Amino acid sequence: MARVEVSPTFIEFDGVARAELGPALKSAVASAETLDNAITAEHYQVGRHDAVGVAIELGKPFSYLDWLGDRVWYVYHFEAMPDELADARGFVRGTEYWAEKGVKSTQAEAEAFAQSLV
Amino acid sequence: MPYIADIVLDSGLSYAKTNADKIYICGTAEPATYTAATSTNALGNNNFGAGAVFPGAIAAGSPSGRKITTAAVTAGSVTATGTAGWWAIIYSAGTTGAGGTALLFASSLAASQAVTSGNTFTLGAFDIRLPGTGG
Repeated sequence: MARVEVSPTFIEFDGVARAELGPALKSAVASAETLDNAITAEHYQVGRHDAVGVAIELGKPFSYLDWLGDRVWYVYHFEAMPDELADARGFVRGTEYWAEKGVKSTQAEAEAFAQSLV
Repeated sequence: MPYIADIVLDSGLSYAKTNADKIYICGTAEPATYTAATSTNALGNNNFGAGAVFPGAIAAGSPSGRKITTAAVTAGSVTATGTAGWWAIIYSAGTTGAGGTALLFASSLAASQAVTSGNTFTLGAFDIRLPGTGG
């Protein structure tokens, strides 16, 4: 199996699986405190959308990428897009893309999982 | 916040200025990685080439720090249909190693916008600022 370390935070296996470091997706109740720019990124504001595209409302849960916290490892597999997604995005059915397959806390876990997808 | 010399901030911005080559627009999910920005959630991109995403000089930021300004996107390629909610600036031509391919910056668009594959998109110039002493 070919393991290519594109960078210390980006590893690819046989060109079809990847482990990449990034901020964790978390949720919190929207408030002046949680929307403070010292706590969450400045683009999370009431009236704008959260990290999954939902409008942020005070007192309601919102999703955010924790750019300030510990990073996690995202694992991807290069595979055919599901037909419904291909149709929605205007792609020919069978078009391949990098599908997110899971999130792991450590590099070792992420690499093991990525290798299992090859 | 302790004192931070301009040259320290400029070094980071200079890396981005030298290497950034593409601006992507992404769907409703905020891109957390290079792969998410360029494939999983990608709806379109504009390939400026390395060194051309930020054509001007590094300048003073406001209220503090240093900034660089993107070139405006005048005819980006929409590669997938969806609702664009995010932009991402990437370094796609990195060689394998410590300075390799990476997601450099990402944030939300001022307003979400429906886009259709095969069309073009525009995006006004905007600043990337690294805050200094005083935030």
